[in-house]
Amino acid sequence: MSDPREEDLSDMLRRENATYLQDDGFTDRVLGRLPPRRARSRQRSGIVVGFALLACLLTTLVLSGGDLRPSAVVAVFASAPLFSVLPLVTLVAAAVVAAVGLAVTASD
Amino acid sequence: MPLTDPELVARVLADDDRHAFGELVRRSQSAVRLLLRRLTCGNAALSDDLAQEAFLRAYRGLGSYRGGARFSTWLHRIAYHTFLDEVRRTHPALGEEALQDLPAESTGAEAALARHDLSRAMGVLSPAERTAITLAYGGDHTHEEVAAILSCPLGTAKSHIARGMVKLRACLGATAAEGDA
Repeated sequence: MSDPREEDLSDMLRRENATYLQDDGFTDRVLGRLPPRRARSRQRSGIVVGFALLACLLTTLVLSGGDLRPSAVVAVFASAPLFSVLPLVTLVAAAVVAAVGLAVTASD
Repeated sequence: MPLTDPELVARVLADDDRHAFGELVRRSQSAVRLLLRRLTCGNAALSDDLAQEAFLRAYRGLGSYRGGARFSTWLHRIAYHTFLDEVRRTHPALGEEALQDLPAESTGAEAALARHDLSRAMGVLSPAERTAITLAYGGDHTHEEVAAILSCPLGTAKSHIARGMVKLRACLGATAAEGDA
């Protein structure tokens, strides 16, 4: 059988600890101290993909002499032998611009 | 239907949803502030500052919440360690063991007040004992969760509760005896 004094103390503690503290602006104060908003992850992904596509477009534009017709673009890549410098340059340029995109979104 | 705590956490992590984080704060502010009020022996201003700091730490560390434990357990653990960091800051000479066992009067509460009522009697307990008793009685936490919050083994958490109860009973008994005299 439990000690009645122990039960009294337990009840007292439960009563004391069941107190509810009203918010009274506490939540707003916490929210006000949060760091500046990050760009949403979907927005960040979109920006990076956008930068990568832009890089591909610009590289292709330069290599095709400003001609963006599908036949001209295909001709640029078809004329380049495998492992030639042309696809490599395209990839490097795309990677550089994508990295810039990442840096921009990381600094948000 | 209201979102669960893990669902709100997921929203904060995915989209930095401030409304979701605000809801998490609203749901848990009373329990966290109450625990810190116990730990600071009723110092409302200090406990609210520490509670704010604890929620900011929770926001920054939300990615480390795994969802295995209840969100409130994870949050109380942060609040308890925020309090310990504050004691470390104000008592830099204390070792880790002394810190855990430090009675409240050493952290600023007046021992004389300890005999007046239960909340003040809590001042004779160490931070770990105060936390364990606050959470176990009325805080709706199991002994396992108390151990997780205190970052100690289950047996140690149970000892904190048992020792704290003995101290409280002795303190309140002394009060009653003084009152009868």
